[in-house]
Amino acid sequence: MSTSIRMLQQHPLRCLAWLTGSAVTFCLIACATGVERFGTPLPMAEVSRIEPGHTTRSEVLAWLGPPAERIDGGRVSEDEGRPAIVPRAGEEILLWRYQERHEIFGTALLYTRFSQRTLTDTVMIVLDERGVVSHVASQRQTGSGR
Amino acid sequence: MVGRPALLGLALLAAGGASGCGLLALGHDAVLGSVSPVGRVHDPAVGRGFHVTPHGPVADAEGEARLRPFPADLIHRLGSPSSFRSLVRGLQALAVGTSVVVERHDRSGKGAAADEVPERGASAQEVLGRLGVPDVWLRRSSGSVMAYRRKASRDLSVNLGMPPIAAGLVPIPGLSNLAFRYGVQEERSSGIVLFFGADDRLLEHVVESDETGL
Repeated sequence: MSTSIRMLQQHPLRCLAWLTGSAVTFCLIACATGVERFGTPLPMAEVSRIEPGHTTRSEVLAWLGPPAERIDGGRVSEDEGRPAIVPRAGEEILLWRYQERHEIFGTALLYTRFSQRTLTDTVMIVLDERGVVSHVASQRQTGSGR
Repeated sequence: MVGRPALLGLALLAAGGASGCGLLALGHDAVLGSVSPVGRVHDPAVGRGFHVTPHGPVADAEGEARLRPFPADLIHRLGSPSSFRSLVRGLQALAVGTSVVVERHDRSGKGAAADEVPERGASAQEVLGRLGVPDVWLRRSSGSVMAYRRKASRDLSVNLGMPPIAAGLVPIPGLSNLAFRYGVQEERSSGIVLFFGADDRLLEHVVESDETGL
């Protein structure tokens, strides 16, 4: 019979105290990493097909799909990852957005550290009063996307 | 001798008493709720719209339904994948609540470098093609303003005090109120602001110094 089993039989309370203390200590040390994804990866390859002054609204919607946001009255307040854009009269702005939030969480006894980095892919299309693209911009920070 | 059915019934009663819907949870909230690292337990357990924030779990309690035996959206909670996210967030909130030193770092935005800005007179489309989607773009017939920003923040807090459970064991009134808290919040940003004329041509740009050394 091994030494550990003999020790358990002779000193059960001491062994239980050691196991409980080890479990508590283990639970007090933890680390977690994760990625939160909001939206679907954007078709960045289709953005290069868009030509200011030529591409129409229907073509943009056919290539990129439905936008995440449409602005024709302007928004002033800025949320994280959402640009604050105020268009001119008669203009329409379409936004597509995909966001990843990378998190690292670690706790060791009485010290906790939480680190978060937000990466955003955005496509912005500005349409004039005729429904033709006047400005196009894209931004890619994540490694996702088609 | 107590039979197995009786033991099973006692176990179920104990589980109910120890759950977020039972008397133990109500007692915890009444005695420790305001200082407990897990926060109030009963309202988030039985309310609707349960979600966990970095500061703890929250829910809509729908009034004084203190004796509700189970959450109103129990099936939704059990079946929704977001429940696992809430579990992780809850554990993180517990670790934050029991830690003496808590440090948090946040970074967002891409910003823009000064050497990436086109020459004066460049069109708005050229700037958008070079720098990407702006964080702010105010367009007027008389001109427009465009801004790119990168932001970093750091929160550090040190909490020293008597743990809630220990405070309940020591028979000295008011001992649990003794606490020392020290907090530092830093937020830094850097970026570029560009000014355009009525013809959408770049007039001037201003660079905000890069202080995001966090």
